[in-house]
This record gives sequence, structure tokens and C-alpha cells, in this order.
Amino acid sequence: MRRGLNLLLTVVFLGTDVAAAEDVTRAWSFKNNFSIPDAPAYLLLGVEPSDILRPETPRDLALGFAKFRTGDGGFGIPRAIALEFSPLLLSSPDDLTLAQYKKRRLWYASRLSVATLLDSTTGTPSRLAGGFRVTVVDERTIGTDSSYIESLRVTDLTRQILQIRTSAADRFREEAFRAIDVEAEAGGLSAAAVRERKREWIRKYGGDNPAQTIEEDEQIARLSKEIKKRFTERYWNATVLDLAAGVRATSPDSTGRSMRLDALSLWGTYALRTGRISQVILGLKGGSQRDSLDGDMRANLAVGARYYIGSARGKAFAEWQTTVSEEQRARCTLTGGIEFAASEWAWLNFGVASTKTTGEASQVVTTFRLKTALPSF
Amino acid sequence: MTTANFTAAGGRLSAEITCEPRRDGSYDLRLWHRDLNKKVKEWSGNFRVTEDDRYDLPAPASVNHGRALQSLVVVAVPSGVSPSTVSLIVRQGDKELARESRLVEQGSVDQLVQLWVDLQLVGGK
Repeated sequence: MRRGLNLLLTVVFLGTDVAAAEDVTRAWSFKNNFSIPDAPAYLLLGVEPSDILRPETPRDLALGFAKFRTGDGGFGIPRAIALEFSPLLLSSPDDLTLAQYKKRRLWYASRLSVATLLDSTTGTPSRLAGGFRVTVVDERTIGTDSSYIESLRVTDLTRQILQIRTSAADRFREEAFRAIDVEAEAGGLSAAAVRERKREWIRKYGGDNPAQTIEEDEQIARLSKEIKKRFTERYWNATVLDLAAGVRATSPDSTGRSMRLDALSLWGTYALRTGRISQVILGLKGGSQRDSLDGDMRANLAVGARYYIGSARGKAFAEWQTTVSEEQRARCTLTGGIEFAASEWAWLNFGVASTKTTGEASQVVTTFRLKTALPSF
Repeated sequence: MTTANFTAAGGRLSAEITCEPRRDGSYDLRLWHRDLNKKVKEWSGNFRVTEDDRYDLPAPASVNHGRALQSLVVVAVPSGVSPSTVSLIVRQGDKELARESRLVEQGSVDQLVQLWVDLQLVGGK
């Protein structure tokens, strides 16, 4: 039917800033409504004020676009483009089993990412980044088999679906058997012959997909949607631990020539369920970045925490982050906001961020972002 | 359609519905008369607990000759989790006689699975 795990092409529009502010947060997956990751390479582009890498369940392929705003205030093609993929998941067979996945779990959970930032005037790539991420702990999907039944509680819905399907299957069968009976009566078939005909029908057509009426199809679609919703609500804030690394090269001017390595980073990020409707993300980033004035590499360290409260479809968040860099003043950023799904295809994010650099006045920015995602190939 | 060949002296027949790995789901199990137009008995259940998904068929075993077992199952296997195998297992005593199975892929939260097993007496009554 579909690829073994999340065969998911997710297109994420990561930024349509309304206020004059940088992009702040991440998009959400349409398919399962879990958060869509900020790929390590994407974060290295420097278009996000936050250095916390949002952990995510491994997926085959994800694409991200940001920076839609043009210099004159309009909207254009995205200037920031990122792609993250798991080579092993992409090449895995359709019938990948749990046992096979667990056997090489870290390999499946390893993803590569590439990203580029196009210059706003020339449109040529002025910054390139590459990254690697591995999900070490993931209680969101594959690892949840044992706790699945106890926590999800969708049996009442499967019962309703079964009743509709069973009714359709019986109707399908009765119509066929009636036709056989009529034919037997006209043709004088023996009871044994009729029995065999009916058994033959079951062998051929007594399968899994009886024809349903349009109304029945609609009822099943509604119930199916509710099951998926319950699954998402149950697991949106499950525990995930990601480790990542990335490197970046930047051109000194808008021509995109003479790219030079100018940043490398390591991330550790841990998303922890703190309650039925809450989650905290603890993030650490260490690295080195080239000083634009003297060309020397300077070490930096960022520590942050983000707290979510709400549901899979809508939540409020608050974030604190402190960044210290070699020969630079410490910077502290506090961010608060909400993110919610306006529909199955559109996610909205409102945020207010206050940044305070030691010895300087605070700066406050507001953001509004629209994000969308596609479910699958 | 799988056939379970049983003997008159082999003990009580039973049917079990399993889902591995276990998922949330519901099922109906029907025992059809030999002419296939009337049900002898019908059971219902779910996979919240698995200890009660085994059912004894009417005794003596020989009365089930020519009858058919049908199981209709809906299992919720959302995206991102491993597929599940749904099975209808027929035993006589503790001996497994037949197993009809179907794989339910991830993302199949509303799919119906039908499993059929024919019951055939062998070796005379």
C-alpha cells in the first residue's frame, strides 16, 4: 500500500513573516500532525532566532521552504530551502516489519540534510549547509507497540466501522448467493453443486473490500479520521531524543562565489512529555562560527528550553534561550506564542520574542507565520 | 480459504482471533452452517485484552463437519507504526489445525479483513 514507515513527503513553508522579524518556530506535519523538524542544515542557515533543534520521529523525506518575503515587502519564491532524508528509510521495502526496523533502528533513524539560502538580490546561493541527525530515543511511533492499546482507546470506533463493513459484506454476499439460488432453480443444480458454487464464490470474492454505499463510505471516513485524530492527540508530546551535527559555508558577497566554511555545530535536544497536554524541550547547541571581521573561528554555546501546553492541533509555548560566544556579550531571548492548525492544510503561528544582550536595551519582535504540509507521495 | 481437517476423536474444536503486534481493533467471528446460509453461532470481541479471544465450537467436534468459520476484523494501524498480522486459528485440543492470516499495513485504520476457514471431518465419524 505505502512504504513501510512514514513514506512522507512533507512540504513545509517555514516562513511568511508579517512583522519585521526572523522566523521563530516550526511547522506541523499534516499527515500525523506531529511537529516538523527544523533540520540541522536548515538551522545553520541562520534564519531562525532559536538554536533549539526540535526533535522529530524519523521520516523518509521532508522539505522546508522559508523566507518568502521579497525586498519590497511582497512575496516571492522562497529563499531558504532545506531537505532532510533518511537514506535507509527511503530505500526500505514496503513491507518493512517492526523486527527489521528495531534491528537497525539507529540506521533508520539517521538522516542527512542539506540547505541553501539564496541571495535576496542576485538569487544565487550565498550560503550552503549540510547536517546529520540521529534519533536516539523515540517513544512516539515505532516504540509504542506495547502501550498502544492501553493508551489509545479507539475500540468503540473500530466497532462502528466493523458494523458498517460487516453489513456491506453481508449484503454483498447475500446478493451473490441469491443469484446462485435463482440460477440453481432454473438450471436444476443439485444441493451439493449449489454449495460448491457458493464456496467458490467465497474463495473468489469473499475478500476484504465489499462494496459500500456512498453514505457508508462517508461514515467510515469520519470514523477513520477520528481514529487518526486520537492517535495524534495521544502521541504529539511523546519523548524524543535527537543528536545532530552540521557544517556551513558562506559566500563573502552576493555573487555566491568563494564559499568558505564558516560554521559548525553540534546539537542535543530532548523532548519530554510532562503531562497529558504538555511537553518540554531541552536543547543544547555548541559550535564554532567565523567572525566576519577578523575571520577567526569563535566558539559559541546556546542553552534553551521550550514549554508547550495544549493539544496536537493547538498549543501555547514559551521559550528561554541563552547564548554565549567567545569575545561577545551573552544574549538572552524569551519567546512566547501560540501555534494551531487553522485547517488540515494550514498552520498558523503567532509569537512575541524579546532579546536582551548584556549591556544593551531589549528588542521586541512579533511574528506571524503560515505553514503548510502535504501528506505523502 | 483454508481448510481445517479434524477428527471425531481429537477433542474439542476452538477458534481464536489474534492480532500481532496487538492493536486496537474489533472483530466478529461466525460459524456458518454447512449450507452457508445460516449462522450456527456468532461471537464478537476486541483486542484490548487477548486472553478472551479463543472460542470453543459446538461439541462433539463431528457436528462441525462442513461448516465454515468467518471472521471479520477491523484493526486500527495508524501511519508510523509497524504493520499487524491478523489471524484466525483453528485448534483441536491444543493442536493447531489451520491458520488463515492477513497483513494489515500501517495507515489502515478502517480496513476490513475477512478470514475464512472450512471445517472438514477426516477419518469418518
